Amino acid sequence: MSVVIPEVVYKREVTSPVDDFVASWTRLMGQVHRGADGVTAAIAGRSPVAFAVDRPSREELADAAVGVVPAVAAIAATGSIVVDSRLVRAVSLLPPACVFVIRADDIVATPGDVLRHRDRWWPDGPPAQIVFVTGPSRSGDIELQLLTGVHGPGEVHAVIV
Amino acid sequence: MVVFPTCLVELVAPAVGQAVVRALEARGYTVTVGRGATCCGQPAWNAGYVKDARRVARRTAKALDRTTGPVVVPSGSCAAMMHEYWPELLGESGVGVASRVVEFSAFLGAGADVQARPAGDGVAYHDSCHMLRSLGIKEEPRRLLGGTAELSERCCGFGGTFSVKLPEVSTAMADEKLDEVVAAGCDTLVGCDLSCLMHLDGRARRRGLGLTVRHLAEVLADG
Amino acid sequence: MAEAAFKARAHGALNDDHLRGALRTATDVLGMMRPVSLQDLADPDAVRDTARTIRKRMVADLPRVLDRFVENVDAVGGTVFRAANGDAAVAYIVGIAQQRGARVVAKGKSMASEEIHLNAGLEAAGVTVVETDLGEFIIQLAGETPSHIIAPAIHKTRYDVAELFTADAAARGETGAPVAPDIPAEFAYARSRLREAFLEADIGVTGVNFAVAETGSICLVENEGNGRMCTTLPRVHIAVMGMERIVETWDELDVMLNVLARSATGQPLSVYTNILTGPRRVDDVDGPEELHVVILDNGRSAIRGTKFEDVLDCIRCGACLNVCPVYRNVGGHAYNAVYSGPIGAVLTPLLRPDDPEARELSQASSLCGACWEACPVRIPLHEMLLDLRARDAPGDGGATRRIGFSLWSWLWSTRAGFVATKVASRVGRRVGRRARRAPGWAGAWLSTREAPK
Repeated sequence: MSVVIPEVVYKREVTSPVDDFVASWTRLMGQVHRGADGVTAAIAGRSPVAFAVDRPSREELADAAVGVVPAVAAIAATGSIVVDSRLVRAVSLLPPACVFVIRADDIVATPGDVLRHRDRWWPDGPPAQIVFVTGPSRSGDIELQLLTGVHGPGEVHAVIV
Repeated sequence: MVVFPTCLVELVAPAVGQAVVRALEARGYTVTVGRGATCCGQPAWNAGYVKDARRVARRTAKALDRTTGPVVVPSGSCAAMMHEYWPELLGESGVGVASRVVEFSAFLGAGADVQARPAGDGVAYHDSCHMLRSLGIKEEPRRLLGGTAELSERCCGFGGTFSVKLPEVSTAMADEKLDEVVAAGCDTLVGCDLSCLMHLDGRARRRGLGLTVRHLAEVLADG
Repeated sequence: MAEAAFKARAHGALNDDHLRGALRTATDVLGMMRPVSLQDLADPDAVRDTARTIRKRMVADLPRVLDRFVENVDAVGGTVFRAANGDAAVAYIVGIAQQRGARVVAKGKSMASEEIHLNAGLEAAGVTVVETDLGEFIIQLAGETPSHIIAPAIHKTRYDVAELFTADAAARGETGAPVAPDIPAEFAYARSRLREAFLEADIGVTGVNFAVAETGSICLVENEGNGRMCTTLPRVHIAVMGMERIVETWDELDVMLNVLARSATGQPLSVYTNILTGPRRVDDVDGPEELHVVILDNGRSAIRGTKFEDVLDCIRCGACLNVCPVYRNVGGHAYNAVYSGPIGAVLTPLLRPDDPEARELSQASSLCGACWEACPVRIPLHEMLLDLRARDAPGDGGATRRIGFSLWSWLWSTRAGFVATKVASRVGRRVGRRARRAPGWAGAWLSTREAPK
């Protein structure tokens, strides 16, 4: 007998997932670009670039100025981008900047739309690592002053295609 | 209906007890005062001495059982003790009285013809923790006072024997509350719990702050 | 005297102006953000009710849910070790380190690991442990314990940090300019210094926010990225979890994640919400080769089935700390325990019932109930503090207090006795009006306050 867990309803209804995601992400100090040229714009001439699809090794990542990662999904209400370990974990972690490429159709409203429907995103079961990235790496541990880029990327871009 | 003055009122501020009766009579109520009642048992209950709390509470419960109608209590912490904990502490014999207990401002404030008495400038109202969190009484005192400065909802630091077991911490908490009153430009502090008021008044006088600290009943009875 | 040790530590804290200012700022900011953030939800109270129901169901059904979790961790290639107590957990982890020839362990923030003194155990075995959460790293360099659950180094100024980082650099043989007392410079130092640790670590140790039984997954939330580092770069990942930190399904995880970060810091979600399901897969480019989950009992199962069982619902968000008026004034060190604030005052004497200093902690409260009001899973901490006092106070309070309360209840169980006290108190206060000193509790009152008029 499985228990029904009530949905977590958000106060503000998400009518346009793309627009709401952009608003949330921007509020978190993330940057947004649109369309196929978005990746080039986001990279803005930095190099070397590490593309997750190339499955770079840790050595190749060591000097990378920016990582580019295809996202599994994005969440409008919280401004989160979902990535996982099927390509490379460290591309969105080691370089100081990261560009996430998101398909507009993969932007959903709430965390529940990912967590409660994992068969949609991972029909073969969850991979070894899933990360919901909600903004740039940050800490307020020194005098409660919030700064970005502690260990993970301090600069994050969302490219919506 | 019957008024249970509470031990603290009787011991430290009988004038508040008289003000409670006056405030009720002025609004047309026929008041009897609970004879033979002493204390609700909270001082010992909060300190963990359950048997002692029960002994004293039982006495008060018996005395109030001989009365009928609402039991009006001019103390949020005592009203909460009786309403919330007497059934657990006294079992069946506590349930009857516990269900009749109403805190003073909630009793007056529930009346249809609540007269907001303008409190005047410079009055701050202090929510005691039991009023706020155990009994959920927040609006009635404010309505009765007709407008006051808002303080934080933080505890004043009395906490029963906490005030004398950890006096330095207790006083630091009082100081923060009093600093708020001063920062709000108020010279009068009103509350519904004599325990809090005694603690804040004692500290305010030691610090020479020149604050007037009064129970709500005193403010209403003078009107 | 019963609460003497706490009183002494509180005294130190109350006279540390810098600490008090820092605590006030931290608790004000974090405490204010929580209700604002919860307002994103249509019915925050209903979500908290659901969260409470989930946690209570887990604790009630714990053996079955844990078995399911263990089965599924095995199925995805992880290894589980059930540790009855801290020593067993440390022995297991040290064993792994020795068998793998590990020299460096990179650690994410884990209160459970502090509870079992893991760092000391590893260091005794010759393993270097580097705390990688920025606040924990600072504390480690200072040789201190955390003063706040979320911001462990809140009591340190940028000048303190500059000194610590400069000494650290020197100890590592780095010549060059000292680290400036400038927060961006300090961040830069920490980033590169700890990056080295991540890259050379043989083992990453983290805590667990929630285990998820249905897939054998563990969920770990953080803001810095050090958790990701510890669970991506080293060959071995060891996760230490309190046995009660579990949900069964992803639906339940959704509910808990919706209240956790909101309650802790006011964020909708932490910057990184990691869901880890076993070690790396055959085709993965990176990730740990081994994943060990150490499930820690250490006194928790003894709390199940008692009137204190609700304390096991805790999700370690720290909301209670941020609203506690006592914690606000004295900070974490005053509790002298891994867990501080209201949750610490309840959990510590339950995990260490034979420790008299732990039993003191239930006195460190005015029972205001703000903790219960803030708790996302509605643990009635204020009631449990009362229950702990009823359990411990008469024994620990000593004969004088027992006699005092007996005398009081004997007098006040009759009207005549009560009236006698009234008379005596009037006399007493007339005297007290002049006095600043008196014995016992009267003296404690008069030390800072006037007697009632």
